[in-house]
Amino acid sequence: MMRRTALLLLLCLAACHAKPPPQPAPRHLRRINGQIGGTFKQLSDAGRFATVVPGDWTTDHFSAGGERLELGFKDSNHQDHIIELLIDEPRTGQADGRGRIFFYRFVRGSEGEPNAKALLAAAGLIDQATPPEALFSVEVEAEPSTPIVVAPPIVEVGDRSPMEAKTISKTTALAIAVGESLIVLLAILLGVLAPLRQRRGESQ
Amino acid sequence: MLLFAAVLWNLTRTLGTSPGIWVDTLIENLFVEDCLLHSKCTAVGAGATIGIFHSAGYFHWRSLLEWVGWRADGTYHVLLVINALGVVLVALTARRIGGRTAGAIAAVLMSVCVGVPTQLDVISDVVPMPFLGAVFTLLALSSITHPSLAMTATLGLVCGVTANCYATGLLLGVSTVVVGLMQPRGRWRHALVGAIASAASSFAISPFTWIVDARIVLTRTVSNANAMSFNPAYRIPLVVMTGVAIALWIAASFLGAHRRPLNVMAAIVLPMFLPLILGSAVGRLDPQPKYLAHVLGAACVCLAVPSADALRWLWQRIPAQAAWRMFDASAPYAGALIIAAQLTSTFNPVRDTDMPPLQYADVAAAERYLANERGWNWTRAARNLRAPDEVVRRAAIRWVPDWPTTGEDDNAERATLLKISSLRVPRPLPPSVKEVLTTNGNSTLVGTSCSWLDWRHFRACTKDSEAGPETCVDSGLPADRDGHSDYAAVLAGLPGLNVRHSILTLHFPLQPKASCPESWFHMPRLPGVCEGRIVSVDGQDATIEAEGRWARLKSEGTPPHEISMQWEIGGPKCQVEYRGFPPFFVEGDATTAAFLATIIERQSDAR
Repeated sequence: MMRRTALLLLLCLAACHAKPPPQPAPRHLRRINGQIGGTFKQLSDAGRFATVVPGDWTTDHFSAGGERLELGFKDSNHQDHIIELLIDEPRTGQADGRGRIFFYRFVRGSEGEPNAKALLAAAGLIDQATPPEALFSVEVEAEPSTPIVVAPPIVEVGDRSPMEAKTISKTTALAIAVGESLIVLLAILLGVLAPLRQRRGESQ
Repeated sequence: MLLFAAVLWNLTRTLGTSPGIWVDTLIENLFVEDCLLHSKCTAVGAGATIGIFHSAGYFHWRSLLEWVGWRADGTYHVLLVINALGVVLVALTARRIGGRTAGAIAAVLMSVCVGVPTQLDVISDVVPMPFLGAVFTLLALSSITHPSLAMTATLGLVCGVTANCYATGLLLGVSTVVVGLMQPRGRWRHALVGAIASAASSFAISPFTWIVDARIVLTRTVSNANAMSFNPAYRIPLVVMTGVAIALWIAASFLGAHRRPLNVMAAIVLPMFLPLILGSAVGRLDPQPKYLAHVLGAACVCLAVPSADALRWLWQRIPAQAAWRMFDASAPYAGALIIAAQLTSTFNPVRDTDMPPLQYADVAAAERYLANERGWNWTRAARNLRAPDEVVRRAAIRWVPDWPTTGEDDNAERATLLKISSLRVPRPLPPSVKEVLTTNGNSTLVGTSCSWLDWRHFRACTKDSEAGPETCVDSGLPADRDGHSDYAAVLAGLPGLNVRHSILTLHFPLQPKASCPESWFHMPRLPGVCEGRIVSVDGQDATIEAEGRWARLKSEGTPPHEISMQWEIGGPKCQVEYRGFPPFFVEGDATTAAFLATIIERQSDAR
């Protein structure tokens, strides 16, 4: 009995001091850059989805927000076929597929192997076309943040070459401006006073 | 001095003492800000519509003005003063050639020219050009009448300054050489000195501009034939006026009157006028009046001198010849009086009296009211200040410096900024509408109201056609301190800036509250505003009125939770410049929304 008691005590001690199971590392919240809508549009305009989905499917919608994308098709019977693309693994259940960047999960209309394959293939197109820089990590924020707007480093539309983006220092620029002003002032004085200078020259 | 005062009086009465709100000015401000705050002053300048870069010298000069403390209004006052001075210099030039009457006529003509056609109602790189052209014109004449190599060299230097203010000034290099060749002695030496001075100063002020432009010109075609507007040259008053000036020069040449001085004027005008006409004729150039800004002075002299000669010839047919001397002596005063009495301003009206354009003073007054009396900070203004033109919102948050940066961010209050003729303002004003400024018979109004929308969160859906697939993205208005983010990028989910056609639907979650029992939405019909319609409230259209123009929602009972609005960007009812920002609509409580809608309808009906 003593041995059983000691064993029980040991088991209790072991249970009390056991390390808790490892928790997943705190995830960084990643938000999808809203410009990814352009990725979908490019694929749709190029007819890429039509090469991987049944012929009677048409693209219906593409939604982006938070940590998920949703890609939807309609078939000739007006049935929806929708798949989600998630940045992180689903918190509940398992992902139905995985690409380079996204996890996939069926939402609707994935019954049967052909439908499932088509949805996964369509999601794969988005996954392959999404550049890594479309996703980024930010710290979890206390307040809801606004969707990120791409802020270009230049003022005008279009990219500038390195020469076109060249800058000079403030001191140099201000010195140039002072020089310009002095030139104009000199010109005004010369122009206005020219007859006076000539008269003075003649009188001398 | 009298003439200077008269012109300055005319300009301030006609155009005001505060610059207009204009997108190019805001872009210039970014260059200035980069220069002064980050010591990154552009070495190349801004892109022009024809595809080259220019105006680096002008940006440095604007930075200098800002650095000494002359900000929006101060810079604008400097521009008014130098343009007034330009009129005086042109008058002096004409007077030296053709007498007092010629000077008076030139002054009146020049005061007609400088104004809205030369963008004197805003701050831009075109605005100093009439003044610089006037300086060049006077100096060019002086270099002929009082020749010296120093004078010719200075003429070349002025060409360099002008070319780095606006690219058309480079053509003064041709004028410098031609004027040099007009010298009575050593003309080749003068031409060479002028050419070297022009080229050296143009290059030295901004070498990278010309290197980059040389590469562009040598590798591709430059033109602005794809500009948004295309006017035949003969429909532009300044072009016609310049053409008449050239015709008078030709006539005067035949008659042998003032041949050399008028040849100098023609040498200034023709290098710009001829390419403008030819380019327009072959469809490669959109002949905009601003391209003639630097030659206006010379054109006015070309018009004034022969006109004065003609007047004198006619007057001499009158028996009382002494009257001509009296007339000639009094001409400058008569000219000043005509200018001061704003008789010339009838040719230079403010763009639209029914919809007066907003000026810096208007947004500054709005800021003072919202910040001081309603506790608004910058972030709140960035998301909740509205005006029919999105550029006005940008000007308010980017140009006006005094917004508080701390304070509560209340995204449930909206402020709408409008400007209207004071005669059209319904009186009395409701308590929620404040008249923050009255100038030149116009009233600037700010209407504040509670709102059910939170502009930080909405859903943007786009599709190319009614039947096409729709792309929807969560979006919202940012409060990005970096002014560069306003350009070349759009809000998440909205059509791109170069879109030709897109159907944009915005879905707004509604947040009814007891403190805001009603929320009205109105889609205005206003020039410059993309016409939209309300397409659904909670997926239905039962509460939508007037074919999508009105929705009057109440919080009692089962309040609605989403409203959707739609615009056809690039469609027939949306032929306005799209800026990547949600089009304007009126929203607010019943009283404020009704008042704002009434004002807008009155503006619309008046057209």
